[in-house]
Parts: sequence; structure tokens; C-alpha cells
Amino acid sequence: MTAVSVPTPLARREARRFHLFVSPWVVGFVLFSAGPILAAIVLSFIQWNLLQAPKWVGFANYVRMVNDPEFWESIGNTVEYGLGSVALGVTFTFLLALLLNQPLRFQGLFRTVMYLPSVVSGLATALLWLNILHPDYGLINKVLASFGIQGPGWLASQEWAIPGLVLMSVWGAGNTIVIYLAGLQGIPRTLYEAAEIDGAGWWRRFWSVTVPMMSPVIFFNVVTGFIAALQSYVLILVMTEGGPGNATMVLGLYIYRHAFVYFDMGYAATLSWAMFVLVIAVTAIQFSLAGRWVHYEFK
Amino acid sequence: MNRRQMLALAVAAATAPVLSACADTRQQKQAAAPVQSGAQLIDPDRPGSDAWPFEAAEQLNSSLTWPKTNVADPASKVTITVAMTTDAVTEVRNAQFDFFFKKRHPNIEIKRESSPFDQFLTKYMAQAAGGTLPDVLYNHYSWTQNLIANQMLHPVDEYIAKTPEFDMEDIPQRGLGYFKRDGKLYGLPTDMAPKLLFYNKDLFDKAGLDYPDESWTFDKLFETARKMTSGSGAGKIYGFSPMPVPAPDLSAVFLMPFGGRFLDASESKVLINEPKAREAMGRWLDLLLKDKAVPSLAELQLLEKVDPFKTGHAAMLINGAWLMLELSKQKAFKWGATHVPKGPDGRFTPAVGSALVMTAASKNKDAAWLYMHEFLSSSGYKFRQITSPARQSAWDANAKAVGIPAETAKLVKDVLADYASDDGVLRLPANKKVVDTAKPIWERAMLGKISVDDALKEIADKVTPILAENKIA
Repeated sequence: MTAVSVPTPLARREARRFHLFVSPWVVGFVLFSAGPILAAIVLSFIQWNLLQAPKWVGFANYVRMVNDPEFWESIGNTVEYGLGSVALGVTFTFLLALLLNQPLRFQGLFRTVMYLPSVVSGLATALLWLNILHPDYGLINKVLASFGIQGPGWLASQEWAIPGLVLMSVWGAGNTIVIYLAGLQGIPRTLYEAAEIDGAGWWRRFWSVTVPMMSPVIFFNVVTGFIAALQSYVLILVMTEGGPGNATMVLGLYIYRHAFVYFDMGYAATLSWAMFVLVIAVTAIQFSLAGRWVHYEFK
Repeated sequence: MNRRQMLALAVAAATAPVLSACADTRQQKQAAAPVQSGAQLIDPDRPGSDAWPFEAAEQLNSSLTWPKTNVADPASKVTITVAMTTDAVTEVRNAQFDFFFKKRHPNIEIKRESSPFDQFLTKYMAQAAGGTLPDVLYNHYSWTQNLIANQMLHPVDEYIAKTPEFDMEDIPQRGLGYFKRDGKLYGLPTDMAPKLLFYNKDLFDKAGLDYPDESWTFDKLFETARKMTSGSGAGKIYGFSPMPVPAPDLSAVFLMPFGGRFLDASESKVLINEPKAREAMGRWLDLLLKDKAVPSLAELQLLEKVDPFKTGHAAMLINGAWLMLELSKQKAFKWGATHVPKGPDGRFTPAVGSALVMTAASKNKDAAWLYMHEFLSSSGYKFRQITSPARQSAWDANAKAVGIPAETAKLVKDVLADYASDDGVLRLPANKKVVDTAKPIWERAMLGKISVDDALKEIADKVTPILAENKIA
């Protein structure tokens, strides 16, 4: 027989406050997200072009999806883009956060400048990067040319279009840097002092203190980064429209096209569920692997 | 390198893209003039702008004779909703039209809705699903058949019958197929234009070659395009631009002269992999990959929506007559226009234009007709001074008003009267899906990844199942 714990008045007060603060989100979710989610389940079993009466088709949309080569192509592109943008983004922004965490003069200015790209509008970012990635006149290929390297065709090339978009995705990762900075500043100085006393050098302190202590933050950024990357499509729509030759047709763009260009709402809903499953699967894999490398100080 | 230097380098890396873009004058040179859009304040009592002063509009309106119809004005106040896709400049002109229309029809109130073209269909398809379509609706030629098939539109024949002075012969009959079904007409064109061969006179003079003319064949065009191609990088001159790609009017412009088609006339069978279409597509691919005489995908990347022809980087272009307005206003180079070239099977060009339609759910159809009738009358076109009026009686006056040379205006009228038609232009419900499916495959051919035969076979294989969606009961 186990003892039943009685909540203290403080715990009850905290619970009330928690529910009060979380209630706006819950109400918003129920009204504006849960309804469409439920509708999407129903839509995935019907055929509907907005003009005619919806027609129940059972699992036909799912069968069609499984047999749709462009769907699988879009899944491949989405995973490639997600892996690329998360791997590069997480690494690059972590290194930048380490630099921005240094006690230097003008630190605030440096941090502001690094965050600036995050507040540039999406369309401006797209136009900017169209310029940067241009095969002949773009900044990247000009820099490469100064080293005697002929740069690729980037967005005009089937092989380099996704890497080009991955590069662009890293540029606006200011929010990730902010999260890393918060994490870095939360590492107790005593750990570094103890390591120094033990004779640990810079690399050893970084590898044995900074990385383990930051692993929950890195994990958070990897998970949220993947979820965002797997849903990306707006900038890709503006920059490549899925081309050349469907090389950048990611799943989000494929869903958008079926829903709002072809008005094939049933199939678009089915594809949305495929995206949901993809996000859940990728997230589940990450959580299952997390135990091997994520260190929780108080666990 | 110390930490400070590393940080400075990182900051420089983050800001360099912005600075480099600011310093790139080539991009600024090639960028299109900004299109004004968005909401603006228009004085309801004196609508006007610098481009369309109210006083001049008032004077023009008074000088025009507005047509009559036997459809009576409403006995009491009614409001009709008119939805169009316009930019901010044109919107002022439309507001002026509404202002004077309301003076002539005091019982008709007009509620205007204006949306950007790329958002228009999505917005009004959603409204159609909700059963709240406007009374009068702009329609791109490729949308109308879908709306007709789904009983969203009301035919205008009965209203034309009630309007004795409605001159149907004033509108090019061969360009109305997009708006017809089962012998009924569901839309009246807001504009109508053929495609023409445009050329840069300065580049031809520099190359010492004769200008294109009515005698030209596609053989001559290919040969001249090769001769006109020169230079490299930012200074490259292309013989022709852009490369033909699967598009609704691919057949009418590029394949029918060779006896080929993208799809058959009923849009139920793919024909692009048949020998004659293959010959035409293969020749264009050679012009791209072997002769480099048309811009590649990479070269077009920064020219998004800005054709190299308009910036003086291409000697020839086949495009709609509506381009003349833009070309007439620029002084960077001298230009000319002539008939599209002939092929072994003759000369073809599409007559394309959008329309105004009356929605089936409209509760004020008579008022909607009064509006459509005047807006799309000869006087209506003259008032709006658009470049490509569907009513031919408005062409000369409008060309003069906007500065299009008289001989070019005559060319357009001749082409519309002679051989321009809607034949071969895709319009059935699956047309967008067909184009989106075929285009990436053709792009792989343009990148040299697959042969022309493989590309056309793959297009046929992938497009064929989609065509089932074109079957309209």
C-alpha cells in the first residue's frame, strides 16, 4: 500500500497559476489548431476541389500517396534539407555562440549584428540569397574564384540547389544563437575552475565541461531545428519554386501546391499527415538516441 | 588569429551578404520596375492620381458615348461586388470608371475588391467553397472552364440578346473558346492579344543583319539566333529568349508550326513525344545546349521575371502584344515587332486574354450585366486606355493614347483578324498540374541530364494519368 501525497497549499497555488498562464495557449490551440487538425483527418479520406461536394474515397488518397514518385522525391529532398540545415546550423551557431560569449569589448554590438539576419523579412532574405548564390555573379562563387575554385551552379543545379538552401537557412539562425548563449551562461564557473585545477587545457575544458553541460540545449535546438526544417517551404517557393527539375520540391511545398494551386484538398491533407508522421518519426529517433549523448546535470 | 579577430570575421561574414547585395549594380540594372500594389486612399468624390488626374478622366468620360441595353436599371438601390486583379495605378482608373458609372446608374452601388494576381484564384476558390463569390469576377483564361464545369458561372448570352447594339463581331471570335461551353458564352474578354516576334533593332544593326519580317521561318529564326549570340557573363547577348518550356501555349507558339502539339485538342492525350513535336523541341534544345543561343537555367536565375530581352541582352523574343506598352516607354534600345515565324505547317499564334464573368450565385445579375457591358464596351476600353483591348474598335485610339506606333497597332489587328486563335492553348482543369508535371522533366533536359527523347517520353508517361481530371461531365 502506497501513501497518497496531499498537495501543499503552495503546490496548489502553483498549479492554479500554471493553469492560468497556460490557458490562453490551450484555448487558442483548441479553437485554431485542434479543429483544423481534426478536419485534416477527415479531409484525407475525401476528394474535394472546393467547388464540388466532397466525395468519400476511403484510403484512396493514402494509396495514391504511397504510389506517387514525386511524393517520395519530396520526402528525400525534405530529409536532405533537414539533415543539412540542422547539422550545419547547429554546429555553426554553436561555434558563433561560443565566440559571442567571450568577454570582449563591443560584445553587445557583435551579438546584435549576429541577430540582425533573423529580423530580415523572408522575401528580402530570398532575394538577397538569390544574389549570393548566383553562379556567375554571386558572392560565394566570387570568393571561391579568388582561390581558383570554380563554384557550382547552386540554385540552378540539381545537385547544389539543396546545399544552397541549407547555406541560406543558417544565415538567419539568430534565435538559435540566443538559446545557446543562455545555455553557455548557465554553466557554473566552478566546473571550469575545478577542471583548470586538474590541469585541463582549453580543448579538454570545452569537450568535458562545455559540451556535456550544453548537450540538453544542443538537443533542444536539434529537435526544434528538425521540426522547423521539415516544414520549410516559403523561402523555397520564392527562390526555386521546387526546381530545377523538382530538385528542391520539399514536402511542405508539395502540400502547398496540391492544396492551393491544384485545389486537391483531400490529397493535400493526406500529404500533411505524412509530414506529421515524418516529424514524429524523426523526433522519436532523436529522443531514442538522446540517452547516449545528452547529459542532464540533476538526473 | 585571436578570439577578437575570429569574432570580427564572423560578424563580417554575416554582414557581407547584405553589403554585397547593396553594391551589386548589375542586379539593380536588371531588376524590373517596382509594381505598385497594396491599399491606397482614393478620394471617393474625386478619384484621381498623378497618372490618372480626375479632371482628364472627367473630360474623357464626357467625350465618350456609352452604350445602351434593354436591361433595365434596378428600381431601388442595389450593391454589386466586383473583384479584379489590378495594381495600385490601374486601381485608380477603375475607381474612376466606377465613379462615372454610378453617375449614369445611380441605383447601382459598387463594392470593389482588388487582389494580386498570384493570390486571386486561391482567394476566390475559397469564397466559392463558402458560397460567397462576388457578382462580377475577373477570370484568367485558364481558370474559366473549371468554374463553368462546376456551375459557378452564369452565361451572358441572354444579356447579349437583350442588348441590340452589342457588336459581337468587334471581338475576335477565335479567341473566345476559353469562355465557351456547350454553345454558351460565360465570359467577355477584358483584353485580347496575339503573340508576336519582338526584336532589338540596335542589336540587329550592330550585327549588320536584316530585321525579321513576315517572310521569316523558324529555320531563319534559329539561324539568326545563332549569329546574334555573342559575349559571355554579364555582357552576353542571346539570340533568343526565353527557352520554350511546357506551358499552356507551348503548342500554339512553338509546336503547331511544325505540325506537333503538346496535348490533343480535347486535352485528353499527350502528343509531345510524337515525331513532329519532338523535332521542334529537339531543335530548341540544340539551340540551348549546343549553340548556347538562349539563356540556360543558371543564366536566367537572377533574371527572375525580367526577360533578358527587356534589358537589351536578347535579340529576339516571342511574347504577347501587351509587351508593347512597356517597350514603348523605354528608351534604352529601339525595338520592332513582326509576325511570328512560319513553320513547315504554317503560321500560328495564340489569341489570349482574360475575362469578366458573372457568377451564378449573383443576386443582382441585371446590375452586374450593366456594369460588364459598359466596362467591356468600346468606350469602356477607351476610357481605361489599356494596351490590348478585346474590342478592335478601341485599338487605334488606345494605341495612340499610350504611344504604340500606328504600324504596330495595325499589325496586331491584322494578326487577330487573320490567324490568331485559342486553338492549342491549354484551358481545362488539369492544365496547371500538366504544366507543373512536365516542366521539371524538361528542365532536366535543359540541364543536359536527360536526352530530348527520354524527357518527352517521361512527360508523356507522367502527364497521361493526369488528363483524366480533364473529363468534364
